Amino acid sequence: MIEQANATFNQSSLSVDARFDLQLSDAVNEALHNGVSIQLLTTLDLFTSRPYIWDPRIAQWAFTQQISYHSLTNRYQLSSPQQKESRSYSSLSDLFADIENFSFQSDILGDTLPESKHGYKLQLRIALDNTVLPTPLRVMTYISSAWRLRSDIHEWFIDGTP
Amino acid sequence: MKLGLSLSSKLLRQALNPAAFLTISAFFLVAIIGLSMSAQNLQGQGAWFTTLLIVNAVGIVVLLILLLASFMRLVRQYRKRILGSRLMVRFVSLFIILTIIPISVVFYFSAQFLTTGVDSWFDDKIEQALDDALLLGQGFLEASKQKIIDNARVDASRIVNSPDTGLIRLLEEIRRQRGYIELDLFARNGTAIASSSVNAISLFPDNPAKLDINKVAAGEVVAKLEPMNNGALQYRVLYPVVDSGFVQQSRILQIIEALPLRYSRLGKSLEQASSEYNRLSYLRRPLKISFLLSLSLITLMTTLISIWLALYAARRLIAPINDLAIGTRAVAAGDYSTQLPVKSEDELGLLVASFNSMITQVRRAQHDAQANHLREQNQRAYLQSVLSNLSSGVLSFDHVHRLQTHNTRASAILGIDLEHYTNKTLPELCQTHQNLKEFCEHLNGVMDNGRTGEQEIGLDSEQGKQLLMVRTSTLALEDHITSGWVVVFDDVTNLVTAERDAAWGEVARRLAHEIKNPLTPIGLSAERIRRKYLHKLPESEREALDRSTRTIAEQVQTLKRMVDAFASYARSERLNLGDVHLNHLIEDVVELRREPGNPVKFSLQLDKALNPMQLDRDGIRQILNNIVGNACDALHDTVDAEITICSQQEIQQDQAGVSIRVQDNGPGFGSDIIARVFEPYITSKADGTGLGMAIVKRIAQAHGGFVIVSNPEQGGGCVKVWLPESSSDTSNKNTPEII
Repeated sequence: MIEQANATFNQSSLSVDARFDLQLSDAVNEALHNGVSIQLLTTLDLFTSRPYIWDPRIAQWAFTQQISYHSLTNRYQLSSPQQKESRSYSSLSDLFADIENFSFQSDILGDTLPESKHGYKLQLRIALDNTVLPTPLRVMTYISSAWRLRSDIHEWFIDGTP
Repeated sequence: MKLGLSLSSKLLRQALNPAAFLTISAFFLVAIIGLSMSAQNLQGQGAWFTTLLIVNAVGIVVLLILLLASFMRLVRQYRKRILGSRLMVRFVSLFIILTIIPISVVFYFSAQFLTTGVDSWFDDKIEQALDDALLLGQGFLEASKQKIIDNARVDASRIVNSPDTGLIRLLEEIRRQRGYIELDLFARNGTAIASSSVNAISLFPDNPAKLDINKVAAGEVVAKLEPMNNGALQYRVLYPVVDSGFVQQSRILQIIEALPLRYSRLGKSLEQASSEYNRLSYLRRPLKISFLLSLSLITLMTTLISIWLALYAARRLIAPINDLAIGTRAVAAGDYSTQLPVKSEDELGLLVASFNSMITQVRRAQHDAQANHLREQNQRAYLQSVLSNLSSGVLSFDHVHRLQTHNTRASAILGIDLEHYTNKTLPELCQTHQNLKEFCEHLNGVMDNGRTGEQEIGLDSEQGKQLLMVRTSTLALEDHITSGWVVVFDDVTNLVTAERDAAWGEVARRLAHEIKNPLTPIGLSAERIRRKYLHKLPESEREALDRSTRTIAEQVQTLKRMVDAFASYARSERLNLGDVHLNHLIEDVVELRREPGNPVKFSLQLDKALNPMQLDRDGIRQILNNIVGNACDALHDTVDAEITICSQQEIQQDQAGVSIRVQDNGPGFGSDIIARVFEPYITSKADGTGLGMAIVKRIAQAHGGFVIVSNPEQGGGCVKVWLPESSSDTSNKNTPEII
């Protein structure tokens, strides 16, 4: 779940700071200790807010963090495709303590941000990415709620006139 | 709404089209195979799995809908008892049973095989061996780690006693001596103080985690084996470097030492094998579920396709049978134009072709039969026309004496409607018409004995005795077996009467001629003898002469009257038609009879509505005179003698006319007289000529009428004369001739 989150937005940059409270279910924990790597997917979506119809998405940022268990060293390994390096932890709590603080800053919007009369909407979510699980486990994710780990969507509405 | 329903129905029909259905089925089968392959992917790259699962679920739903629509249509047809639906249900049920049983058996054993097959991948001994190897590896790594910790303790003591200016050199020296990858010295807060690395170009040390720094700062020793990005392993040991008495200013020594390459490879291999085995073991149950799901979907899809194929095959198989049933029903309803399409060259196609051939032959036979029937009807109509125009009556009987054919003239002559007696026997005819008894007995005799020929038969009718000339002949088939009889008869009553009347007329004419001529000289001679010799004879002989001559004169007068009667009977004169009011004529005749001394009382019941008619006044007057005169003569010895004369309108044989009935209360007609009353010289009177009633009949017939005599039940005699309203209806309408 998302304990707290703050976002700062202007025409040229976006910065988000959040703090997650991460916990795995027993089923996922068991799978992790049996050699199944899991992946946490943090997504940040920016929408143009409209009153009646759905909001068109302007931009999306996704951050994946893969967690695996190294049985020989009895350690948990955290890797990220974005950072191309891995870190190991003696416990899951140490690992989660390391990634529970989320910080994001983007300057890429710049002139490409379309104008919006009704402002913008920002959504943050962290979830277990089931799409990368081994296929046999995918069947379980459809029938078992223990595999449906996702936070509520944290949403900000931002005024369109900076 | 109707358009929507029509469109959906059209789409459904297209979907039920075999090619479309097979294409859809092939697509979903490919999707099933893809799903099955995806389910076997244990590496987590089955990106299409969800899509394929949805596609297959949709496919099964689509197939179910199509099949449901087909079954609903079949059920509707079954309930409406549409031809072929029952057979279709039987075929489909049979096909479904034949399909589902083997599929179920294959599914059961496949599921068993899958379950046991997946279980056979795993062995407890191997699992135990892997666990033991892992423990061994961990023990070895732990021992190595402890050695590095021991080295760290020694190195830390060397660093404590070393001045800060020589730290880098010292670290470089120790690192080289120990063979470390990196040797760093950090401050308590994690700031790097000095560093030595095997990687000469590395400017910054490999910083430890903040959490580990905090632990070391608290006095702990952190030693851990870390997996590297390349899969190799390295030790990281953080050891506190504590100056004596100044814990707060202690530093942190970090040693990073790589596991020897050989051990690192072994460890990596052991880790991979153990991890892979554990993962497979853990995925055993989900794998079974996944395989069973794929197998179930494939089985369900195959079953649905097979059921549809069963429906399609049953429909194809039944189509020609259904066509045949429809064709047979059409033929039963009399439609011989049915021709069924021959869709195949198998036995069913041969059957349909044979049916078509049979129907063609039946149609030709029916056409021939209709033509023959029409020809027969024409011949029958022709025969009927000929028969109806015949002046003779014609009857035909079958071999059991049942009436088969008759013409209108026969009904007219016999006075009955023979239409009611078609297919009935002669005894049945006689039962209701006793007057035909002699006629029927004659025909029965002829048909029983096989005697054919010609015979005159008398028939009692309202108009009196009727004479029929009956000729019978047999109807023979080609093999000379009698199949019936033909009876031709003519009413010769008028002919015989006319011949007899003509003969009597000739006799009367000759008698009148031969008798009348000498009567005058006889009378004159007798008168002359009387005048010449009566005074000359003595008194005694005078009386005898007087009596003789008077007798001669009286007999001559009598003979003259008789001759006049003969002449009147024999005279052939034409009717002089004119407007005659019958009631007035009747009153005139009766008035003449009401002379003093006549004891007969006359009662007139005349229809005042009678109009003047076209009649021969003298002829009708003679009729009335003769009838009324005969009645008066018959009442000579009757007390309270009375004659009733009635006139009234009466229709005879659809012809309007007037009847005059003269009835007395005398003794009536004698039984020996009544049958021959119209024959000349038949009389019951001593001085009668016997020509009165004959003349009455001749005059009445000349007007187109008739005369009937009878003895009513209340007594007396009755003469009825019927005259047509218009005598012009007779054959000699303008100038009828009295023969």
